[in-house]
Amino acid sequence: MVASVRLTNVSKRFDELEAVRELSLSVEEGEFLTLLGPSGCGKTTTLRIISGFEVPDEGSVLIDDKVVNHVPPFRRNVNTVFQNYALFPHMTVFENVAYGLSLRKAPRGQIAKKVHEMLERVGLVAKARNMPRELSGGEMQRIALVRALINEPRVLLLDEPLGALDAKLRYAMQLELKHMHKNLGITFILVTHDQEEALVMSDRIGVMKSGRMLQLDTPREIFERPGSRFVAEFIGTGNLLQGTVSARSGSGGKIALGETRAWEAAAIPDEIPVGARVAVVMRPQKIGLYLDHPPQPPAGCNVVRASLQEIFYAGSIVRFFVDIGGATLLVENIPENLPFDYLSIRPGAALTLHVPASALLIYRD
Amino acid sequence: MNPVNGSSESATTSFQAERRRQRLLWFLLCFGPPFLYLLVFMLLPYANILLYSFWKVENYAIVHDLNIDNYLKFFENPLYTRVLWNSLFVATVVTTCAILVGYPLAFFLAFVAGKHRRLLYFLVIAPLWTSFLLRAFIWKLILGREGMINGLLQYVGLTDEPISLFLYNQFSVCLTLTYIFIPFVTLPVFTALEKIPRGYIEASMDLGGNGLQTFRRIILPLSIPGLVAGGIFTFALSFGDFVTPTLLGGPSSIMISNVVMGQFGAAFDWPFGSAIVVIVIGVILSAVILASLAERRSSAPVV
Repeated sequence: MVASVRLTNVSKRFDELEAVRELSLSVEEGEFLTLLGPSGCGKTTTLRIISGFEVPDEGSVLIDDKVVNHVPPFRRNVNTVFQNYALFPHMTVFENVAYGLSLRKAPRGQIAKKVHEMLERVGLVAKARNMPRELSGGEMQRIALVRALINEPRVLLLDEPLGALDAKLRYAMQLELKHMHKNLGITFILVTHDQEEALVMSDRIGVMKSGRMLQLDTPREIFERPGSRFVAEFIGTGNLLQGTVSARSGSGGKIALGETRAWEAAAIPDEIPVGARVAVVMRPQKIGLYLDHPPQPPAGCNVVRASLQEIFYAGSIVRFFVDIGGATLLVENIPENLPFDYLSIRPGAALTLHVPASALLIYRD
Repeated sequence: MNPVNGSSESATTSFQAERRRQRLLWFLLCFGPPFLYLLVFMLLPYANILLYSFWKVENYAIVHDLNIDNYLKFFENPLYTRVLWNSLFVATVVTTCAILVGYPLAFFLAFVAGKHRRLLYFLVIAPLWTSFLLRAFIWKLILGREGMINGLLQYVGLTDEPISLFLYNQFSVCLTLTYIFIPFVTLPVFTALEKIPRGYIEASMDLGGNGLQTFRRIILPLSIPGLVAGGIFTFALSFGDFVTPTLLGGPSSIMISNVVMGQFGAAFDWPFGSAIVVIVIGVILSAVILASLAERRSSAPVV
């Protein structure tokens, strides 16, 4: 497989701040890769190293198997969709989109044809003569996208491109970007702090923290099998409990939570010995919730008594905060999937939780 | 009509009248003082000068007799028109030179200076805190017969005796005015350059624009408003300057304001002096209008 972009042991430091530390990354041709992490994790710096706006202190950057560490941005066949679009305010939409081609001194007729084609692709031919300030957020987003695509880059970089849009438009643009990626077949590298955006769009996600790549995997693996406590908590919502490994059997074992409780866990990392303090992360969607007559629990399922604290209706899902004695857990479910009517129960109601042993993600504390 | 309705209607009208009265009061409070200021310090003096320019002097007394002789006198005498052309020439040269030095300086401050920017900015504006007169006079010490340049030339051995080529001519006037007005170009241009989001520059480079292309197509058009502001300052102020030609100019480098001074002083021809002032204001106004038209053509306002 051809690596479209490859970083090997790249480090970048700004005065006291180590923005990127020994980062290695290989992006395959035509892949949609997302760099995900909280602000200041180094994801934007990584993107700027690829686009050429930052020169790494150590390590090498390869685009199409050529080292480009010191190649300036304007000589790289990589284009960027900037965070706030950065549409040139003194140029019309047409001139903005044509900019890349006009710098290469392409013939006028060819430029006009190509720009028209690009505007057609995003349905904004009618806005060609408008100034950027006359466009809506979504329109600016689309123009920034085709302005970057007109040079036919090998790699398209997207720096939080949807951050400034409202929720509804963001979903629409996520799909549009995804379709665009499928049709063009070029490599997309997206930077975002929005985990849902990353999960929806990417072939692979790289989760970053403090300049390091913590985990690089498919969205499903990242969500289902987060490799570290940070990833587990950053992706999705999570319940966090503190416990101790009280017994091991095969790959699993028992986790003691407090004095009296011990839960079955299906997978405990090999390097954690009996007696070690661990953090237990559980997805709220994986916990079963029953009012009375709970069904026979499947094998390896922890049955927990709980009492309802609070209940929140959020449209597509219902959130329950339940007290399991000394700790509060969040449980989420789709209203239609609940075995009881959530409107009928009040705080204090006695509930039964089914926590599958496989739902417990165990990390060294 | 229902009486209840009637009374509520009249209450509404009186309420509206009250609102209208309040709005008028606010309007007067807000716009009264600035209007009064403009009236007293700008409109009345200008009107006064305009009026004077149509009067004349007879037997050392101003005669209130409307005529256009002053204007005819100015445009018919080549001596005066030559001074006007000379002033225009000096103002154009000074504006051009101040932009040629001031723009790169502003560019350096905005994009290159980095952490020394504050210190350098301070050094650019520091001369503005000293007297204009002093800043003009200092060039006498540099260019004069006993000045630094002559001293250097003799020290190096290029000349045996002081050269008086540098002072009391068009060159020394233009040089001094350029020096004085460089900050007037640098400051507005620097402000305009600083306001350009770095994203625009990076977007240009990302799309394939090298340094020069990015400057010509992004940075320069977006800094035009600052450039025009600085250019207008420099043009207007150097066109109307009289201190520099008096101190450093020769007989051939008299400027229009020197003539005005003369009319209001020794010559005691206030009407003729006023007519020249009206012409000066006319020239500067046309320059300002031309500049803002050029600005509107070359760049759209930055959001």
